[in-house]
Amino acid sequence: MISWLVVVLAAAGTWVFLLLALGLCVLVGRWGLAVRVVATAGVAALGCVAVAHALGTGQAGAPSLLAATFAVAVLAIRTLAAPIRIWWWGLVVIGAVASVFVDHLVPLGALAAVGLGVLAGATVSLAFGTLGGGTTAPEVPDLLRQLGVDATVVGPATRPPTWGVVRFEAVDPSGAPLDVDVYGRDAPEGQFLARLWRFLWLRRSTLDLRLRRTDHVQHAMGLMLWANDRGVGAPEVVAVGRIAASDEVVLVARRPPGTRLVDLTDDGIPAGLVGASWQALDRLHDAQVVLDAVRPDTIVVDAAGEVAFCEFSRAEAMAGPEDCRGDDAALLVALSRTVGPERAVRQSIDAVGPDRLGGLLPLVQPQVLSAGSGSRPSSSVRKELTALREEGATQLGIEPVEPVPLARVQVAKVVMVVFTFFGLWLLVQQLLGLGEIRGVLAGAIWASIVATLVITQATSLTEAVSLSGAVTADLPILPLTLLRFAMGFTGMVGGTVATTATVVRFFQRHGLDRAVALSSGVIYSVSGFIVQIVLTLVALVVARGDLHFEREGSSGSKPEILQLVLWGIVALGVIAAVAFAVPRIRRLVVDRARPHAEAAWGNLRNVASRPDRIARLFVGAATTQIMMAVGLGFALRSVGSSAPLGGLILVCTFTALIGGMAPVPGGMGVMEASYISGLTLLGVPEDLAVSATLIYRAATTYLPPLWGWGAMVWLRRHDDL
Amino acid sequence: MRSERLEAWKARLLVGRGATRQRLPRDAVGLVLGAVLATFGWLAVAGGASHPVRVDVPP
Repeated sequence: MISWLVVVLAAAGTWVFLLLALGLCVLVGRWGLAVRVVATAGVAALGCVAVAHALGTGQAGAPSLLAATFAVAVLAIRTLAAPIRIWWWGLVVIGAVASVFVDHLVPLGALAAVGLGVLAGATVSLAFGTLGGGTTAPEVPDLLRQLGVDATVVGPATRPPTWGVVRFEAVDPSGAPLDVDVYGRDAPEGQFLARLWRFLWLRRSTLDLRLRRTDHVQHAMGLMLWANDRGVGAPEVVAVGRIAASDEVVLVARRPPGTRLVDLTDDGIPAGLVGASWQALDRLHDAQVVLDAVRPDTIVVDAAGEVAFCEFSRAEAMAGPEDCRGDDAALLVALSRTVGPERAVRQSIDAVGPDRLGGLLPLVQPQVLSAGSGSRPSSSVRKELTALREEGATQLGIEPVEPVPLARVQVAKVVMVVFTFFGLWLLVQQLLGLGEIRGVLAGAIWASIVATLVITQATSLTEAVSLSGAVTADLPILPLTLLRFAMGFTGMVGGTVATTATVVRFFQRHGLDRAVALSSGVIYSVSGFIVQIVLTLVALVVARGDLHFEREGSSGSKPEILQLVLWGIVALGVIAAVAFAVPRIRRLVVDRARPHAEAAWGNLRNVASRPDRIARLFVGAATTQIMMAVGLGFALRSVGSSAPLGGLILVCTFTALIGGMAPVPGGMGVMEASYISGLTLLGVPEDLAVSATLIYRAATTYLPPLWGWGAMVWLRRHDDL
Repeated sequence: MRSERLEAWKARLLVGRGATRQRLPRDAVGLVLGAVLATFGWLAVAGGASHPVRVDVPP
């Protein structure tokens, strides 16, 4: 009986479901959907056949039927009415589990096939879009009736507040415009993706997740009420509620009275618009509310010249000064688009003063307009913002202002890293063969790998000692050690600039003046460089006998070509490092250190007059370099090779030197080439050098950001960052 | 009459069709989730981490 039940469930959740879904599409005349359903199911099933062939497991490891079923489920179930969708998904999931038992499938293979099906269905849905993905205009009057709101629906808004939320415009009996926001099935995912993207892309952004749609509505509603309470013009909440039948949450808000800036005509622009806009935004920021959606279509001005804001769906409470500056820059752009750049800048200087406006100019860039630069091409927006920055600089009588980097990563750098690694991989594969490397790694001694990890990570303590020598105040060593771990994360995602900012912020949190904190960060970096240069020179003298300037293999052989190519990469790395580092250091000195030169010089004198600090600074840095060399020795030992310590110190310090200056995060690519070349110069065979480098770099660079992230979270929770 | 009944039945069973096609956030999530499941699932199978289920379902 149970056996029959399982068999029936397996069939019902797969074959029967597929036939029903296809039959339903045909029955209701959705021919396009039927074609997509068949094609997607076929592609997913064929994908499984290919994987099964590659794995050699047969259908048990990559069941085509499950992949096809889930591909169809993703495409078809969304076209069904909301209350019955859950039952169909239940049938499909139970059918899949039953199939695992009935067909004796490999569970993880079945899960992977489900993944392929979902991937195929989602890809087709994204490519073609979905009809009926959200509430439609004819359904809105019924929603409003259920909420007890008397209004006439005008139609869908031109721009939804966020992805996944549908907005409709309506008019109440008195003629006042209403915004009807429908938070449907997709609202949480849309908000999640938008926030995740912002977090990954923008520096200083945090990942604050609200996973339920009611949370989003409550948040927006609360901030509207709070803003109104503080005397800032904001939408008035008319009604809010959950519609049981469609499982949607609806927020109805009455827009503040007045005309949107985007609708103003040239002769209808009030004289005091610019000043009133800054006053309104400042009142909002005094309440620690940021909007992240300050645009000409979200600002309204009434007949009396009062300015109000009508978009709170992306707003955040308890915002810091940096977030507020983003809104400020967006307001400057919005005003420039409304009254023209010359008038916007001139009247903004009168309203907020030249210092504050000068501080905003570097933020005038597309990233602060992420909430809606509209459909204009990015090149046109960039030109417009460059012109606005120039206008600002001209009126303030200062040098042209460059935008500060707001993005965590630059696309060019990512592309460079990817291509460098791809190139290295191709070289190693072509010239040495990955089989050899895989063989060496498979036979690696785990105890030595663990020793590599422990020793290289223990350098966080010696680095912390060195950091503590860069300031005259007594800082606790545990948070400093965690700071060093956190720098492993910030260095990977944001490079040297992010690391310097992290250190400076840490020092500031511990009561140091900004200038002192900045100069301490510079003292720490410069002392590290000095130690690396000195150790490199000393090791060069001591270990010159260990270096073997011999060719790998015979003349023209593949190992020799690899050796020459790696030397070429290192040479390019050195040139690029110098070319990028010199202007960067100059900018650092000119832009940051010079304005605080007196305080920084005083700090340097204080540190220099304390022998214990000097000792910590340099002994800590030197110990770090030696421990890193010992770690490299253990990485070599793990693959069955060895090299003299002097030579390893030379390789490590030289590589750290060029890696620290290279214009890519973590010196990726250049450092690998340098380690491999250096180790082969010490007489290590190329295949062992490549394997040892992979192990060493994983232990020192690619794994530490994992716990570095944890350390950063700890420091932030304890107000150390 | 029959056509009206059919329309009513369709309205109960299916969602209304929007005027325009939309790209939905759930599909972006599904794309990433599906890719992760497929990659790690089959990597684990290739690594020998999972074997066929051999449970005898009682009659």
